[in-house]
Amino acid sequence: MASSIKATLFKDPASTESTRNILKVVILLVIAAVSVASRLFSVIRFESIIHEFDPWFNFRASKYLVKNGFFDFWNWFDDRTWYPLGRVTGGTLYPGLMVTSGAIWHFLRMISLPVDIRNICVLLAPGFSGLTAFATYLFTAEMKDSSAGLLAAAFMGIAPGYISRSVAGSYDNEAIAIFLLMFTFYLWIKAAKLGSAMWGGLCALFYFYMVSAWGGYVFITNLIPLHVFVLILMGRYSGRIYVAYSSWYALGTLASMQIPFVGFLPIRTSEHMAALGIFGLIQLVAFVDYLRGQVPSKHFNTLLRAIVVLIAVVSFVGLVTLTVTGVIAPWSGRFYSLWDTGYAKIHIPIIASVSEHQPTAWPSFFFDLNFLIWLFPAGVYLCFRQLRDEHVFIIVYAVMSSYFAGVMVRLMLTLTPVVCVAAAMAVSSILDTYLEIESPEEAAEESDSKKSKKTKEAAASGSNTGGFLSSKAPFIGIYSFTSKAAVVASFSVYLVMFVLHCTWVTSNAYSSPSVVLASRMPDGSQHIIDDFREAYYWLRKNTPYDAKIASWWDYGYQIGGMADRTTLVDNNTWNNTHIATVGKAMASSEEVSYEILRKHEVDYVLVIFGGLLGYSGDDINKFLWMVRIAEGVWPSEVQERKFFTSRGEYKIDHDATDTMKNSLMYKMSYYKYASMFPPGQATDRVRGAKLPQEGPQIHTIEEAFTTENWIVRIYKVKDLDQFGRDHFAAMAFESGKKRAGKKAGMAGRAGGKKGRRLVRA
Amino acid sequence: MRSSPSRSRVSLLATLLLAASHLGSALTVPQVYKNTNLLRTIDASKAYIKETVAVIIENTSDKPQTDYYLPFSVPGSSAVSYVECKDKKENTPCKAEAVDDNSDYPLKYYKITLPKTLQPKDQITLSITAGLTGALEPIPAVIGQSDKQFLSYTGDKYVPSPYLTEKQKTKFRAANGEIPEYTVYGGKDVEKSGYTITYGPYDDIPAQNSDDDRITFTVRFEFTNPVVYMEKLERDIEVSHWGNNLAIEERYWMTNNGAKLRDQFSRLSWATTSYYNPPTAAIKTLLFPLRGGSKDAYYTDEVGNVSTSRFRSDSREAVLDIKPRFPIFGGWNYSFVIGWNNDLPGYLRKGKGDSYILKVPLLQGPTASTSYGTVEVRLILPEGATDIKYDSPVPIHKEERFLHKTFMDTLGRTTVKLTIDNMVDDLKNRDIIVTYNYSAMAAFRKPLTVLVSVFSLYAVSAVLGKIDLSIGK
Repeated sequence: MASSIKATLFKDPASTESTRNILKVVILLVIAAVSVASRLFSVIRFESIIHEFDPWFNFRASKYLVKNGFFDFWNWFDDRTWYPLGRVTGGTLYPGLMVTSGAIWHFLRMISLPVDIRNICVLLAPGFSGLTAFATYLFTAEMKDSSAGLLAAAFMGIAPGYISRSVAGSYDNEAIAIFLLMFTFYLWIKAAKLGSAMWGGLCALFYFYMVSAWGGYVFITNLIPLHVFVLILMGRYSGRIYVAYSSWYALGTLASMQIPFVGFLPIRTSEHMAALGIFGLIQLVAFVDYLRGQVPSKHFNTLLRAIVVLIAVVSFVGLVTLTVTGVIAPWSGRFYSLWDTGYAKIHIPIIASVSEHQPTAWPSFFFDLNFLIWLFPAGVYLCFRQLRDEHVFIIVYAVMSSYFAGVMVRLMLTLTPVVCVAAAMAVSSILDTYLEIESPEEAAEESDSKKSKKTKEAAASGSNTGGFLSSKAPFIGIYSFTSKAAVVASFSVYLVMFVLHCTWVTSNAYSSPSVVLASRMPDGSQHIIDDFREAYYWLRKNTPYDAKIASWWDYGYQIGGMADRTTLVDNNTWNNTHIATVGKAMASSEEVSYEILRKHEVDYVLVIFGGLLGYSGDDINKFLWMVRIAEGVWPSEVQERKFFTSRGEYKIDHDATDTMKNSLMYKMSYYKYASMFPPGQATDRVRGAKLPQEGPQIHTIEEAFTTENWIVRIYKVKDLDQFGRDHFAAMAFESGKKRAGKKAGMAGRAGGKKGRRLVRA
Repeated sequence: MRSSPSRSRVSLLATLLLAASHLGSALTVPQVYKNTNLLRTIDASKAYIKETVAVIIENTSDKPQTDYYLPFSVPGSSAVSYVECKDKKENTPCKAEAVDDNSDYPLKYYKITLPKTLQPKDQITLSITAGLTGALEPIPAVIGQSDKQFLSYTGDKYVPSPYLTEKQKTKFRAANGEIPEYTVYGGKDVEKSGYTITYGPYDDIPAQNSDDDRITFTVRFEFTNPVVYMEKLERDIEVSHWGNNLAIEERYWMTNNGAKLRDQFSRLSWATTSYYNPPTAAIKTLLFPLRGGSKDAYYTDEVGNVSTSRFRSDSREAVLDIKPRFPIFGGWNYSFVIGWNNDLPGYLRKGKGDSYILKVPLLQGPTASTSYGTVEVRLILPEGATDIKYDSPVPIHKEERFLHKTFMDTLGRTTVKLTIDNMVDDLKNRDIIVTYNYSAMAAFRKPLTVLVSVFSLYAVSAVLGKIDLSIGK
């Protein structure tokens, strides 16, 4: 019956083709719609809001772009960050993301759909995820066939590893970069297959777009040369590779140098040398290949090989010399941390302090990729079976990205596409084999023992359509309907579970804006904890426009974006010393901090404190990083050891060290906090510690604003005393006078002792 | 701020009067009336002053009269928001216009056109109401976070009428019985009972000339509510015939004009005192009563949605209850946006031919007593609406007409922007009536535009698909 349906449906080959095309288009559209829809959890649950930290800068830059135009954006010097240094923002960012959303904004206005730039920014990542699914389809279709492509597109659309960086509101470079990565790879495969300069040029164009959008472009810069290198080593050099690589490299490198932030890096840094080296090598190989075609002499070939090896060695030595002499910049610290996971912790604490730069935990592979992760090796194995040039690319890509994903959590993002592609190839091969309704007919004549053997073979071989291996082989397939049904059914279960898992992960793990926190009321209704915006909006509305806010760098972008006030440090982290200065101010006693804050003309200091609510991402928990970073610059003034008790514990209660108790961060976090509780009941809910009833006293700053749940506390840095006293003396005098009425002036003397000289800035 | 409509006519009159004046600076009013009995009520229960003068006037000249003058004293930063007048017995409204006199003396004259010509020796009872903003001053100017807030008002002992007043009395109504200070002149003419302080009656007070020394009285009273001041309100009223919807969006820039905080804000004492909900001078919530049937209300500000709002609505009434992100103490600022939708049929009626009549409230706003610096109302009518006329319940200070281009517009929607300065919430919930013509052709412009653009896109893509760009086969 099934075959009769098939016969009626696909009688005419022409109509079969067009039906398939329509089906493909419809399926791809549905995949795109699903991948957009599954990223909208946060918009539906919360609102159309920019998430986390970096997206706030991108959003602010996009607003600047649409307000001031492209050329102002290009030359943007931002004096409202990194006070008093400022930041050459236009020259130190990847403009691709902002220019993309700016272009969309202008286009929509042109067709009179004036959509707010915020909504464009929020929905850019989901929109581009639909395009990523399409690019993955194209890429995989080149590897196997379009049915594998459709599977890969579906996997890519909902894989949590990619969703984690592309939910609505996650307006970061990765939002468009993964699409560009896959599309560039597709164009590269197309160029390498066809040996076409046009495809190579298109590849270079999208490579340029990628360079403009994400620092991860270096991955492409190294992966394509590696692919070519492996092909040459395999003896698979061909004119196609030569044309594709040369056109991509020449055009792509020239184009990438137009981005101010990249500039001359492609010819000056070690990260880019592989591409240049392969470019040189492929010229040599091409030359040798040409000569071999002209002079077919065996001895000559040997000689040529020697020359090639010699030149390669000489150029390698030259490269090393240039690196040592400093013409070519040596590998950057971030690069070293890719090879030695302990490197960053010792040498660049600021990189190690970011949670997404930590090595990946094993469960997160399964969490982010579910059943794709165990199908991934099977897919790579299938590539070995056929091993066409493009399959070599998958293998190289798989090896490299597996390593990097293990080193750094955020590089899971680059692994996800290749896992989706490889897994889709594996699943598609299995389904191709087991979904064939017809049983092999020729085989029916053969003996039972042979039959079962063939069944096994077919099960292992995967694809039986297309490909040069199978075209020679006789028609083989599965005989038993039961085994077909069992395999198909079990894979259906896996697929369904995958969808459920993806939805669950997206909904629970990746859809929180982190600017607002959700909690449940006793009656089950949602309650939004909105302390961050409460504080930022207070700053925005009730402080002077040129007020300078000191906070730990994590909140710099959010303050810039939401409070619209000048910050000292932000998430750009380009100046380690400046960050260490803020760290030192937080970690030192009031006398030292006040001097630093006055010197930087700080008006307000902002700290995040989660003790009341149990919000664990607060500044006391990050405090050791501030200490470490400050210690890196002033080892004699800030010492990490002094913040630990004699037993080596990090304590904030009675046992806290004096250094800890006197640090500005401790004082700002716990000032007046104990009074919220009945006597003796003061608890820090994050660290689960009982606090001393007598809280810290502050002298040089005063509490200006604390949010409803005490998450954000803002302190105003006091002006110099009007009578030229230091603040300790002034406070003691004030409190003495106040208490004099009640308690005969004892406090005046007691407080007076504490007074110390302050150096005025 | 002290601008007025139909300025040219009034200034012509003022010029003539000025020419006749001996003083040269202030206006000289012909002595053609006497005030037989006058009762002035100064209501300070809101965050601004509402002054009502009920007066029986008599034409003492031998000619019929129509114009009566009454000034309001506006010292310092205070200003007259509105003046309205009616015949108290017959309840017919009369016209009140500001007189442009350019004098420095803090008296703002209003010319009241009597509802009917007053014959010699005839009497008429007028009730004149004025809103005065900026007349209340917090004293002390800075207070502690949980201290009581006091406001102070200084006004004239006698109504500065340019006519002889045979008998007059002033009642001052404070917001609260707690009145620590008020002027006592020594006689028995001042009486306090509850919320009210009465000055007078005073007999035979001659016409108050502008160069007289003013005798003033001051009352300082507790004000337990915040002094809400909207520096600016932008109100968009958008009519959509296709959507059958009336969308209203209001953007507020709010300040608390009460006593400022002496120290910095302490969350600790705010949190500990909030359990027993004491009266506070800070703005904690704002309640917006909306018309029945309002729906889809939202409350946002510059950094996104604010989740602390409640909205309930049925066919009779709707209330939007918003809680700002933080309590707004004296001198603090906050800005926010609220908006909602209404079904259009409740507001729009079809007139003759292509004409439509729209009737919407010109100003809504919170229940808390509020004064407004500038109110800009934008009436966004459908694309292609013509012949727009409106009848405003309050004088409009500035009018602009332009095209507002938004979603899928080709020409832009016809928009009228009305600006009113220095408004108070006494004038809220009054309807403005707008008539306009909107033809069927204009109505079909949008679907046609969409249709044409989709078809042209299809045609272009079909043509492009046929072009073969390959080189060499």
